[in-house]
Amino acid sequence: MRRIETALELNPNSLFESEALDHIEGWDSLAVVNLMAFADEHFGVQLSPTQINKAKTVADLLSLLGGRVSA
Amino acid sequence: VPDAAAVRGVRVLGITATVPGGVRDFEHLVSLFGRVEAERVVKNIGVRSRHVVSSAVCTSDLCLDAGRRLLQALSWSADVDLLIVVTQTPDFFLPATSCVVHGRLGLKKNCASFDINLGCSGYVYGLWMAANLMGPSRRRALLLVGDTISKVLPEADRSVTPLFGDAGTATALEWTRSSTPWHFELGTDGSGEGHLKVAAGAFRERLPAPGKPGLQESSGSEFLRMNGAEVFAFTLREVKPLIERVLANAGWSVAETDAFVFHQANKFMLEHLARQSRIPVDKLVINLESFGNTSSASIPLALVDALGEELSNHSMRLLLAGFGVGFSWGAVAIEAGPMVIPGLKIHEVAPEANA
Repeated sequence: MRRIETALELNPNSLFESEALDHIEGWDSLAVVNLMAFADEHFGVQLSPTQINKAKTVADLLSLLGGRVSA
Repeated sequence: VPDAAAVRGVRVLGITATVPGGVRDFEHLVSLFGRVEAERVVKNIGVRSRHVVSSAVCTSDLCLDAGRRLLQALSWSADVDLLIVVTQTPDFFLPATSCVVHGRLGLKKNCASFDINLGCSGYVYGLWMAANLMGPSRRRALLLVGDTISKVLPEADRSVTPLFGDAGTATALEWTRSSTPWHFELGTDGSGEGHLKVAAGAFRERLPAPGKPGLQESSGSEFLRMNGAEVFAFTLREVKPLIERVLANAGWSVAETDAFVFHQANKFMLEHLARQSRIPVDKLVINLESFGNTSSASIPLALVDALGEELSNHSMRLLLAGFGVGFSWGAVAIEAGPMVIPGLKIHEVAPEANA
């Protein structure tokens, strides 16, 4: 979770699992690309933009990473 | 296993590039998007300023400037057997820009000329086409590669406007019996055609004539639209294995390769790609900070700007890779240099009047 904050250029401890992505300031196209790079680099997971766009909450993003990110 | 698709017998004699004098700098970006957002964008894409043409200047004008300087440096005069122009921003729908340029350069008549309509992958495609068409009866090729994407940028669109600049380039190739093989790979995924697109202006979607009553207002589709996340996903999917395969075909390791010159898509993407492919920072060419992404021109512009001195004096093992709009990609492992590099020229290019 903390590494996702870094990837999304957010302040530490600012993300909560239940948080709606729409409510996160800075959740935009640049953030999506940053998240894709993060997933590729650290988890060897290539996320598709369609998958990411379907995610509604931070928890949805975590599950895309296959539960490999501990909260 | 030898690479059956390797192309033999062609050598790069020279490269040069021309960049227009007009500059869109960081303060211009601040005026469009505010300072905080401008800084965030620049940090990610790595482009601080870009060079753009004035409205009267076209791709042909930039390429002609580069082409004339290169022809003069090589003393080729009119003696060119093959002329290829690679651009997605031609002067006209017809005739081909290559024919216009052929006339302006005053080349001899027994010269084959045509255009290739590709962007990010266009330089590698141009090299591939030229190399495959050359032989004892077609010994000299001039490859002109350039774009003026600034003409299709919507100012308010943060995803494309800060990124793209204009440039024209010229590369001279000579058929020779004693060259090393060039190892190419080219590919296409047309399912991605919508993700980087100027939809209107050609024949599927005509442009409304400005000022004519009765025609619908512009929908904005005459401008470049990019789905950056889809383009990035495509790059992650295709480019790393592409580089690995081409290096394998050439029989080179990363350590044995002198420089990796990729299409200057954006800094974030290039650095990610390099990390994933274990390419050391000092072998990765990034020169988009003051030019932006110049579409088809970005690889030859980077060769001239970043490697010009080395290529003037030494032979280098280069891995060139272009990838993007189409989706289309191409990579080549090539030994090049020493060659003639008349140098990058940044100046106000004058539009040449129509004949």
